[in-house]
Amino acid sequence: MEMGVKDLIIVGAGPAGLTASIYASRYKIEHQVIGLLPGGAMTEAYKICNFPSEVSISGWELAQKIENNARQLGGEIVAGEVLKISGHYPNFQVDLADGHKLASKTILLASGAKRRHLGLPNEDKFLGKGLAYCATCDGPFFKDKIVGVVGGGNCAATAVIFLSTIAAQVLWFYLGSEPNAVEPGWLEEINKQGNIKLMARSEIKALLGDNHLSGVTIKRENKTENINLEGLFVEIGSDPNSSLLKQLGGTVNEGGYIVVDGGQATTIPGIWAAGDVTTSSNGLRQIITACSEGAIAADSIFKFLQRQV
Amino acid sequence: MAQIVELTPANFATEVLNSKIPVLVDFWAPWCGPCQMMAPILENLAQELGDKIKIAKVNVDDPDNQPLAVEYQIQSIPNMKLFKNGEEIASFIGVRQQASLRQDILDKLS
Ligand SMILES: Cc1cc2nc3c(=O)[nH]c(=O)nc-3n(C[C@H](O)[C@H](O)[C@H](O)COP(=O)(O)OP(=O)(O)OC[C@H]3O[C@@H](n4cnc5c(N)ncnc54)[C@H](O)[C@@H]3O)c2cc1C
Repeated sequence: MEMGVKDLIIVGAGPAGLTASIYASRYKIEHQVIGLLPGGAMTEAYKICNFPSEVSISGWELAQKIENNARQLGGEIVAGEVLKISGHYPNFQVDLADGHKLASKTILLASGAKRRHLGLPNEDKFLGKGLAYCATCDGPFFKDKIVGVVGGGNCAATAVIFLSTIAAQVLWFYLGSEPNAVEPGWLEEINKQGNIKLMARSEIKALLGDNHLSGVTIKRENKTENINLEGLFVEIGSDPNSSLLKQLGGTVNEGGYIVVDGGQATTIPGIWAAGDVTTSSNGLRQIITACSEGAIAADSIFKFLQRQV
Repeated sequence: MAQIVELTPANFATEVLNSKIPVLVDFWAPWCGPCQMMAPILENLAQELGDKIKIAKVNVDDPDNQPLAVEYQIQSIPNMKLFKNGEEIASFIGVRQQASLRQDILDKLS
């Protein structure tokens, strides 16, 4: 099916893509958002306390609010996956996984990042059998059990706090001697809980168990030891979804993040990028920065399209 | 129009195990964002696959449904299990796109 040429196609319906849609609607830019998961990564967040006007809100709820805002202003948000972008300004072709092909003058990549896996050989086997990547989704199944969380960042910290309200004990495994990538606010909450055990300088070497995860082998200060647990939550960061730009020869940095200028333009004319997938905002990858970058990108695209007519 | 069937321990056998057509059972909970995302996808799939397959769901947050969550060892949601002739033949964990889930279901049933 071939549709009319849009002014803008936004790839990704997380906070960056949805905010860009809000601005695009206000600027009357004819656009469509194509996203795998409406709401993006924050839909998995247990609690968000750093988004202005929301003292404490679940990620799912905040995602819904932003999505509603975008829809109310007329944003067309479609569930789908973009497989390939080809062509150039003003004739980009966007190929979707369901076979549809769309045409657009400009593109905004707001495709975020995907969660890292541990990379252990039997990881897939234990998915849903003790191993989990979403603490808010799967935590409640581990009531009164001993669980572990792997990772030293804010996502790991919030998973630890959430799980400590459900599980008997939470073992928190991280590589450094301190969880120093974590906001002090979260650490304060962690210190208040009596059932969290900090496992510093611990690397997960193996997943143990027959049909169900029953423990992990960790390496700690050059010693390996086996630790019994029934659930393990993986929160070890993410990698940018920048392959669509790489296929076109656009510039990414050594971590794969899309290099953009102050107006969120990529090195490919007619393509902008915003949110967790970029090098912007000093590397602070949060909802507010994703929204901000989405707004700046939409503004740049508006000015660009105006100049072209 | 195919409707999504709400399952409980009381109707599980009739609706799933003794069903004449294959059944996709979605184990979900209101607290799970990705499960909420699956809801419209499953509704579309129910329309699309029509009489070929029945789509049903179990809310594992409902205390009455605990026996089903325990019996099917649900520890990660969304978890969609495919039953044919009363037997579980496949399990799909995590959010899935409509087209790829449909393909995987049809592949398993062929
Ligand atoms: C558990 C957790 C807790 C967090 N807590 C907080 C917090 O408290 N405060 C805070 O500010 N931030 C928090 N974050 C970070 C925040 O969620 C991200 O910074 C933000 O979501 C980035 O927005 P984005 O729009 O750039 O990308 P994303 O939210 O990742 O959205 C990108 C979307 O694009 C989709 N996509 C990718 N490729 C394609 C494709 N080819 N076709 C179609 N769609 C595609 C993805 O599926 C995704 O839905 C948390 C994240 C997690 C995981």
